[in-house]
Amino acid sequence: MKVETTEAFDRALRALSLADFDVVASALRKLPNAFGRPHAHSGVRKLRGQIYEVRAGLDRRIMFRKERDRLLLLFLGNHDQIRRFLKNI
Amino acid sequence: MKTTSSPAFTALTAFEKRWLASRSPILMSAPQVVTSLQYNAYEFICHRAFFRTTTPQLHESEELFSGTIPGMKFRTLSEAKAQLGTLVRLAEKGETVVISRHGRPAVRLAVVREEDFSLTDDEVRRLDAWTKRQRAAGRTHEYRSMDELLQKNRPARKKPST
Repeated sequence: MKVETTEAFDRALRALSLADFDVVASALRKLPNAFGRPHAHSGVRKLRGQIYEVRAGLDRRIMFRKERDRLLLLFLGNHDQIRRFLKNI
Repeated sequence: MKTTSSPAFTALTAFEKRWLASRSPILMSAPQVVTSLQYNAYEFICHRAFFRTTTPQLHESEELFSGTIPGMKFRTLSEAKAQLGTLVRLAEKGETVVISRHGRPAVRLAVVREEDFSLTDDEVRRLDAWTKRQRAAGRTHEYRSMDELLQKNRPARKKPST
């Protein structure tokens, strides 16, 4: 499955510490196979329509949209950062 | 923690004390040792004007307060630590629980609502528009796989400071 990212997501990813990056990377690697397996404890949650979020660590979330042939990774941050992002766009 | 009645508390009328007792059992559990810490914080939550020592303008009517001063469970930090399970259950039932710190209300326990964690229609609309703008401006990047994305965006290892 193809992956598309926004600059905001890439920036947030590069700003992580190596330890945090490994946690996020682990969640991202599981992501393409998580759909259609509701009992796999993948941490994926539907927000609205085709917009989902996946848990990466204790408080970090990745917000993304599922499109036909790709995943568009929109934003990476904690609950408050995501709320702020949604408010400011 | 001080254990003397605050001047403001001493000046309350019998009705005011009764009213406070109905709203905050902890505050009135031992009127002679009501701490100024508890009183100050409670006073802060309520309308200060009602409890000014110089102008106690309360009326003998509960209706006056309904809606003006919400019924709240009020606990200091040490009380909350001892009763957290109970307070969480109360909050789940819809009670407002306020925890004070250094004599001032600091946090409120509240039930988590589903809408706190989902998106509104307006947010979805704005997110769609934002995504279109990002794509039009070339501010998105495409990768063939997740591994490629992670490889290209791996944070640089910080050099140890000398």
